[in-house]
Amino acid sequence: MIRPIAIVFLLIAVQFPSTASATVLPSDTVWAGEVIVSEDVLVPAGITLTIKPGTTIRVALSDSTKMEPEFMSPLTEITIRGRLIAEGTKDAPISFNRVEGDGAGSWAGIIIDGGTAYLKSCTIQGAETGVYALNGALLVEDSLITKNQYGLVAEDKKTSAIIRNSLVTENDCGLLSLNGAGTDTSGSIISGNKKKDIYSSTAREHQRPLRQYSGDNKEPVRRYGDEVLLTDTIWRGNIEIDGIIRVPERVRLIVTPGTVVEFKKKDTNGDGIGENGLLIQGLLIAKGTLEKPIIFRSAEKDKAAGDWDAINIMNSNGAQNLVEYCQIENAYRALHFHFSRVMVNGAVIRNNYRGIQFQESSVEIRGSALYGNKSGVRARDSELVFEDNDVSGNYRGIDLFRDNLTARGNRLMSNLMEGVKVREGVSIFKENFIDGNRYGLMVTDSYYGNFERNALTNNAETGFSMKNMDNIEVLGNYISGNGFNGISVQNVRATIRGNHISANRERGIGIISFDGTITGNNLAKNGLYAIGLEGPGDVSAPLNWWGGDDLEKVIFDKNDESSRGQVLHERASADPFPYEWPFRTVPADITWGGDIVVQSATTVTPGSILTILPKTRVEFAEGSGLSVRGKIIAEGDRGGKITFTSLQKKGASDWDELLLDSANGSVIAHCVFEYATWGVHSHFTGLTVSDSLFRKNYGGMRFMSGPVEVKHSIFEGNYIGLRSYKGKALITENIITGNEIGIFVREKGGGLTVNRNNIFANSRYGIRVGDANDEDVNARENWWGTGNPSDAIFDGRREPDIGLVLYEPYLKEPYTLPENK
Amino acid sequence: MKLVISPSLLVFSLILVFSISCQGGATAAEPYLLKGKVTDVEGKPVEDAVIFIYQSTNTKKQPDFASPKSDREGRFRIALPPGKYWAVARVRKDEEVGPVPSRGRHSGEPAEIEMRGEGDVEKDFVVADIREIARMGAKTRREAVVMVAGRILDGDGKPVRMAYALAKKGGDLSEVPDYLSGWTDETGYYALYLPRGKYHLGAAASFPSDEGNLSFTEVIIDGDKKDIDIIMNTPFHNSQ
Repeated sequence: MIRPIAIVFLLIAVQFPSTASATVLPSDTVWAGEVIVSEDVLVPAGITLTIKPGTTIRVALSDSTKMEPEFMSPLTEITIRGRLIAEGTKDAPISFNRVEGDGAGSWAGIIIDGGTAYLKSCTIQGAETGVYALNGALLVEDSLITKNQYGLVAEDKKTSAIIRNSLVTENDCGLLSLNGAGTDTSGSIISGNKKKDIYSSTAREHQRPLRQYSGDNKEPVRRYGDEVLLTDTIWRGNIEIDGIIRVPERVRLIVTPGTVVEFKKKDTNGDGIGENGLLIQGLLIAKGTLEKPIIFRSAEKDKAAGDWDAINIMNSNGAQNLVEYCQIENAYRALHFHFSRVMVNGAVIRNNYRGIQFQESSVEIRGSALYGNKSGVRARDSELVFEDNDVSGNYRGIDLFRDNLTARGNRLMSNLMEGVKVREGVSIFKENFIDGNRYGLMVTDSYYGNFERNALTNNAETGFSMKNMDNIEVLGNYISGNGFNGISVQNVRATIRGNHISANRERGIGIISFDGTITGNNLAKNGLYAIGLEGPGDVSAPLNWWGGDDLEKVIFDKNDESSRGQVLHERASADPFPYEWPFRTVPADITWGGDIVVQSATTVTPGSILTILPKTRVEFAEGSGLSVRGKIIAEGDRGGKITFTSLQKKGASDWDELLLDSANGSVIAHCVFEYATWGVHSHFTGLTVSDSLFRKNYGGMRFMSGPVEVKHSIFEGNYIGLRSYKGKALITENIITGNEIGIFVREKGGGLTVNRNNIFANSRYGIRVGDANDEDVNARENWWGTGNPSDAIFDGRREPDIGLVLYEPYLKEPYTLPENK
Repeated sequence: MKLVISPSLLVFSLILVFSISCQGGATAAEPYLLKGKVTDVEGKPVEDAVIFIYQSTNTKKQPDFASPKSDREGRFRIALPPGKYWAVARVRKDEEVGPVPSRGRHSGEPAEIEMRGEGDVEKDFVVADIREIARMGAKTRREAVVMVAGRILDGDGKPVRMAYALAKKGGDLSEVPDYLSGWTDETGYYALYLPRGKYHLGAAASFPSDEGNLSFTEVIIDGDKKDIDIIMNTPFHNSQ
């Protein structure tokens, strides 16, 4: 039986236009008969929504751009954090559909967010996602999921989705299983979906350190209830708030470094959201430091998102409000501004429903970390400077509407939905790293936009989705490893130039309609096509490098299906265009191919893997180098060496080195190192170097610790071929010649085994033992050229108190490298 | 007098009416002019702008009509038959259609224009590139305050990290001055937003600062200033 209050609510909802406010069910609720859902419905934890057999649920469209923080979608949604039981029968099924007509994507769908749902004999249609399960348990039996954009999505390894004896058909995509979700589709049919039936993708888990600050747990020096601060107020120490603190106009609240502000949870309306917080109408100066940050958090013992309301800043657009080196957590909205000027600098914003929300404001957000929120940033009609931030592990990253955005140097990674979503407005978007999200960057309805030198990588669906845009530049981006398309384009006029678009699972660029130019790009090794054209219009794509592939095979257009337009690909480039890596780091799993230019010292961060494809050339600018603290897999092959060289190719020490520091598991094979100070420099790394050539460097390779294996390689024309410092290494079956010093053993040479090498014609010594080395070096069974091997050795025989090179027995004939056999 | 309509005249009239109706109801009237002026964000006329005209809202394709380039006064004109159109202005240097190059300017969202066939229609366009648009928006929100910006430097002229600029009105003895910037990064860059007026400007490396150890210099702020460097503990230096 439907509760009277619910009936009244639903009837009123039918009578009046939909608004953005929504319904949180306060107690167990039953739906039956005909139910019109015109607002978001949230079933919170501890509450059960039961739907009787034969119930028809019609969900109205949402025409508002607002989305309250506790909800998941801008479309009308039914979100389950408690329990949903929708048990229809064969004769009395339950139906979920949009209010009017057919067509997918009008309402959000049923979202299981940490809750459980049992759906039996249900039909679900007309939604963006029929059922989306995230961190929850879903059981669907004897049901039909049809005519949605996505039929079913299960995400995250804490999710279990069992679909039994059901039909998932005529959706755009049938079933998506992401990031380790457990799915069981026994007895179900998932077929006849327009784009794909089943798709699975799991982003590699990155153990990126998450910034956090800590604060004292001392007794409060001051406790507040509801209060208005009538004069400037300075907070120090621990402050406890059980009310709303209002700071009126012309008054300042100054929070000093090291202050801890805790909010007790007060929930008078039972919606689960705390109401205490700050309302700033004057000015907030919360100026922490790295050594003494400021903490805003819940006062509850078991802290959770929504324990307190927000730091609200309203109509404060004179001087700049400052929120610096603050950690804000457990709020409904950590920061919320209207008509204000605010800087957020060095902040940690985590475990809130929404991190930062604002409208009609001027905002700078710099050097901050936003993670574990339902949404990171949501803003409209504002100016936003967004630089050097980490936005990761949120449900949604950044969602902007009609904003003037300058975004530079940010990392937007591993957000469950989109990394960045922009609608309308002006965007200058440069040198950002967007990796491992479900959707990378989505931009619609914009007439100005510059997207330059970003990386869009390893996103589960599309890297960069553009729709209905004009006057756009897409320049010099690195777009690789995305699940569907690198770039998706619909109704866009743009210049797409100088990008490196490779190794996307389906298309490099998927086009429905495009007017503009695609030129000067590297389009290589995409799974299906470099360009896939779906619409009837022709596309201009001259002067691209197509990866050396047969153009007929990597372009899908009129030549494949007559209803489509033609990709005009004249004057294809025979060679890859040099691509300048835009970052000083490699902070995710990245694959390099073609011709990569490194302009400055660049680091592969811990946990990240840089894979370099055969035939790749990596060119280093003067003084630059690559430091690997994660892992590097540089595995060329016999027909395709990988070359590490300098841009100017003047001589040794043009560029610095390839440094491996605790980069265990790295592989270097079939590579060429030239013009470096040190080709390879290894510390504390288990490393194998094979089949490689080191030439014209100051030093070919140096290493400390190990274990290191160097084999089948050539060291020639260097000042020093190899150098060991406390190394543990096997150096075997190499050619070491034409250097000044073949091998230099600086210290602790007892860990080396040097055998079956050709060590000859080095101008000073084949092996030289350093003054600090007092251990003997095992260098048996090498070939030393003609003459006496001892003539090519500097050791304890020439200088007292340093170790000996044990060279006997030695080979009478040179060893032959496997390549030359 | 009886009006006699000959069969041939009747046939001709029917043909004429039929051909008119086949034009979707448009009269056989001559086209009128769409004309106007193209300016930049500062109101200055823009030469060589082209108005691209579309017969639908889909403007991401080749235009249905394109005007001649605007003249030195930014004026343009193009004859159009009656109908509804959407128009954008673009400034390009080489080809007349296609995407705008990186330094090109554009009028943004298409303007809806109705040519009723009753006379010329006037429509002006403002073109801007992406940076001009971005600056416009930022400036709009700062009508009440101006921006003072520069770098905080040490005695050797090197940028100071983790410092902040502060400005106070004369005689202010509060623990925390009226206006503070955020902490600087390695560039030493700061920005203050404050109303026009007279201030004492300084910099500090700790918060709250010990004002007894700071030196301030009196400045008059009457508009945006971008290169006001502050030397910590010495009078400020205007690098302009």
